[in-house]
Amino acid sequence: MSLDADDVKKIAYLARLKIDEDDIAGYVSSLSSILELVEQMSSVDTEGVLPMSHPMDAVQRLREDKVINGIISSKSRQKLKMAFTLCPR
Amino acid sequence: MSDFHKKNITELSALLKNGEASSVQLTEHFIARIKQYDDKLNSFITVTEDEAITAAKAADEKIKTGNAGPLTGIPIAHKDIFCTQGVKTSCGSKMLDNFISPYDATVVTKLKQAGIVMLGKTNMDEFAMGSSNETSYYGAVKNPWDTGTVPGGSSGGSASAVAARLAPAATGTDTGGSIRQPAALCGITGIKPTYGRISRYGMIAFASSLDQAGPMGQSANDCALLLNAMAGFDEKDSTCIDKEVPDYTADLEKPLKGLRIGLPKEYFEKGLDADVEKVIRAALDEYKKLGAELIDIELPNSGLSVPVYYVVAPAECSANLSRFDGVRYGYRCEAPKDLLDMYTRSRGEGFGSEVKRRIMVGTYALSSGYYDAYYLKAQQLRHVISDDFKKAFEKVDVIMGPTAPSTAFKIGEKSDDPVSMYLSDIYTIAVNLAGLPGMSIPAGFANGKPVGLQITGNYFEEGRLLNVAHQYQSCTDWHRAIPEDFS
Repeated sequence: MSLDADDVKKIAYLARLKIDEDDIAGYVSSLSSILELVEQMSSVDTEGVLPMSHPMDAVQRLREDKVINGIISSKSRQKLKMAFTLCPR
Repeated sequence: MSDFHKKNITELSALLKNGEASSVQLTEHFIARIKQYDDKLNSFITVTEDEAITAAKAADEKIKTGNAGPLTGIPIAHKDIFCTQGVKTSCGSKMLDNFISPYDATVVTKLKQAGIVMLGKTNMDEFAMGSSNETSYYGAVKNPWDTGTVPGGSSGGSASAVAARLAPAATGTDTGGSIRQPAALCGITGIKPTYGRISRYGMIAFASSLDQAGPMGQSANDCALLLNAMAGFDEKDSTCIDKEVPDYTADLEKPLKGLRIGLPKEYFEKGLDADVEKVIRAALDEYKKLGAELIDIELPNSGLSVPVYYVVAPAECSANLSRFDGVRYGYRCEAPKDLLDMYTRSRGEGFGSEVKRRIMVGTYALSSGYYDAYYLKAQQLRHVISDDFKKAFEKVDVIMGPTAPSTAFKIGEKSDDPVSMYLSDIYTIAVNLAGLPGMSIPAGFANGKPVGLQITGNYFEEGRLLNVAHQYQSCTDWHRAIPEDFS
């Protein structure tokens, strides 16, 4: 799987990353070589194999939906207004 | 100057207990060593001298009252991935260079409760992404055995600091080998426990289904003492396993007669440095003398672990690192034009190139239309790789082989070729994909550089791994070697 400059720009946009124009060629080459490595996965047939999300097949433990021990630094608290974080428009 | 740095935790603890040394003296000794030697190594990002002395004084008071545990008053360092209240927690990144954590990670809390004194925060690959500690915003860490070479990564600062005895022990994290590979390259002992054994709360997330914390120290005995304090259920980590923590020191002295050691043929094939292999074979002979039986096994899909890892880890990191957007904390670019500009420039300027590369691989793998071909396929292959281990553990008690295919390589040697760098974790990654416990112990030297022996066990068999490592360390001295320039 080989990518071109437009692919890299599109991925960077999706990832919300500003990439300098001068660096695009480097990413085209390194991302392509990583995807080439990853292609080796297709050598094994995984039809019917269950995906593994936890080694012990543990399921997500849930807790009651209520606020406990909120962590917020005093510096961050100063930036809060009506529970929203202030940032530039 | 005293020789506190030549002693392990058990020995230091005895000095404290007998009143031959105080925690303040130990702490001052290691702080002095950091000041004297760390210019050569760059293993620390932050040294918390004042906090350390305060904690040491409190530990000394506790020791006087007779309520001390085996870790009370022992100074150690934390990898800078663990949140430490009131102390900079950078994760090796410009993105978090200004981040003072408002809370402690559970690992930090537990070690504090055990009486540990924090010396500072160790350098690491940015967001734990790297195998050489060259991707840190704070510069490369050097290997004390040869300062022209890498210490391994991502817990390279912890490994380098312990190897040079700037700290008696340190914490680390391991997502694809980040405790074991640097432990091997620096000649120290490190254990990555079973996934879920130690809480990940407050440990900055890289790949959540793989990340696991563990101790890095001079010996299996020291790691057992630290693991006793670090392990355990935590309701703040939803993937942490609710299972009783045994005393990891209890079985250290158990003889190894009859132990079945599996040798995967795939770990001794092409790609393994011949001198490293010689050292590993000699260590295996030592195990035979201890009464163990060596059994050839196969892990036929282990070759797929690197490709699978480079889908799973980047996919999870692309999601985890989306929280760093310049809004709430961390780096924010100057004078953003609008919200999108703030996001893209804060992230583009705040992250280094390896982190950006992995975020992009993950974003691509998770993008619409590609999920099944990449992430789903990789998660299926994790089952296949894990089943290989399951079959192996029907025949053997532990699996052994080299931790890394070579000894420490030169700084800069692999930094332009990410795939070649990724292959330095070829023997460690499968263990993370399966969620098994694994450790690396010093097994000798090849061309003057340390070689690590990897020991992998079945789920929750950390006690057995530590026993197997301790028995080897009881009849060899490799783990006691200190690099000449730092002795």
